[in-house]
Amino acid sequence: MKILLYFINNVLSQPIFIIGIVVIVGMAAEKKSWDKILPSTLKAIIGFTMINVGGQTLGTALLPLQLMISRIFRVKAPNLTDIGATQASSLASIGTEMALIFALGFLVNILLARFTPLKFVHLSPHVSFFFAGMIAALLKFNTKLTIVPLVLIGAVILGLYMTLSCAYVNILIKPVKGADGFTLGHSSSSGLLVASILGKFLGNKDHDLEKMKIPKKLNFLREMTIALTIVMTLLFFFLGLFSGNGWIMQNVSGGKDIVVFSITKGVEFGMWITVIITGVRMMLAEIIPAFHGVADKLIPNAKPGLDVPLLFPNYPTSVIVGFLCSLTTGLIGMLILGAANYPVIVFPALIPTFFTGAVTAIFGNAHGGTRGAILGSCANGFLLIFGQALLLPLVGSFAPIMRILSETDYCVYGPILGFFLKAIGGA
Amino acid sequence: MIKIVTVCGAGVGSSMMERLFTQQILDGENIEGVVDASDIGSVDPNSYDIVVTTSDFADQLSETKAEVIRINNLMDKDYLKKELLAAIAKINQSEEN
Repeated sequence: MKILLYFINNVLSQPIFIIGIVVIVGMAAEKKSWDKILPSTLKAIIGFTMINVGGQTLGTALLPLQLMISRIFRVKAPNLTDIGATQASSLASIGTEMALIFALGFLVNILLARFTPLKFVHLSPHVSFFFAGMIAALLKFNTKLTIVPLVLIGAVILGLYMTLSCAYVNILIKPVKGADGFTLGHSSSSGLLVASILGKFLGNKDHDLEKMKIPKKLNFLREMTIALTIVMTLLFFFLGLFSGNGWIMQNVSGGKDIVVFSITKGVEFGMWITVIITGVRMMLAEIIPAFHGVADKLIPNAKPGLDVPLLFPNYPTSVIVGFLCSLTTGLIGMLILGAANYPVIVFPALIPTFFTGAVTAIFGNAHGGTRGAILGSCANGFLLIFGQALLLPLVGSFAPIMRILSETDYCVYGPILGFFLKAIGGA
Repeated sequence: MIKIVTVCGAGVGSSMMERLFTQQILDGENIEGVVDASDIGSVDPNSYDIVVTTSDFADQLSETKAEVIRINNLMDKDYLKKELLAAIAKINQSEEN
């Protein structure tokens, strides 16, 4: 008994061991030999650590944004949440629950596909992993649950989310080109619902946005790291401009002028994003085949829920237009929140803005042409920014990760779940 | 030993899936090879024999000696198999000469 307790308190409380165990179990199910399992497990653990360190440091790199926005809007809210304060324990404090909810939530999704008419298997582990983190954080910081019930409840919530989001996107995806045989397993689903409804009722299908060709030169925006570095540099630059160059040099940048300062910050941001994405890739490279393997074995007739870029080749114009529309409304939302003295500083999360913006435009276009695409992706930008503002205070130490990765479903379902937990008294 | 890389915008979603399909095809044909997934920003196509990606990214790849397979319906495993085997045959032929 003592040994077991020691094991639980000292080994299983370290998220990297849980991640390791998930990989080992997954690969053992694939009947891989130990010489494959050992390096893969280490790679997954290193990847997880990269996400953790990247998330923490990126949060710190964004601190100047907070100073600038507070200065521009003279935010003097009494309980201004400090980005830096939540850095210390980013993933470490919920990593164990996160990893367990991630693994068990997938099992719930499989069981639902096996025994209910909802035959969908959610095959985007990079989506469900961070969604598991949000659920873990909401339960941990808003209830008094101990680890076992927390993980079980979390897994059921995650499994239901995975199945249901695949199910309703499956209805919406019908008019979308190049989506035969699969649905989307992606955390933009609530935005897709809004975009499809807006497109259907306010748009006109006959004006296809794809008839408009954007210059090929703009294709570099499809390169994630590059697009995000440019946008972040501009964000730092314009906020710096409004704060005043002198003030920035004195209080924020340590004597660098805003041009030099914004470029170095933008590049820094691009670098940390690259670290995080590389971490995600290293962690999941070994888990994804196991997911596919389990699904193929247990539910061969299920419809897979896949990632959004599968649709991008058919909709190059929508991708760029959607990203820019969502980004624009996200920035407008940021200014509204600043002007309203909202106690938490928020700015658009750029990776989500890119992917959800692109895919909401695709769905808006499929249901209501150009107008649908623009309305859909603009609405998505507002959902992202206002939802993030509501979500951040609810997720404690997971907030830095949510500042960079909160896609539409996090921003819509996260606050709903959080406020529900608060309403039932944090039981 | 054939070296293949699958490429997409971020290198975690669709390229990961293509990597899996590619590996399945290689295993099915008993061809020895390694398959990596990468993103368009950091990939070095010249360190691979074959690059699998969508047309829009294929246009952005730097000049390369690698065989580039353009696939726009990422779920079309039959097309991928046909193209892969053709590319591998081509590589094997040039090595023999």
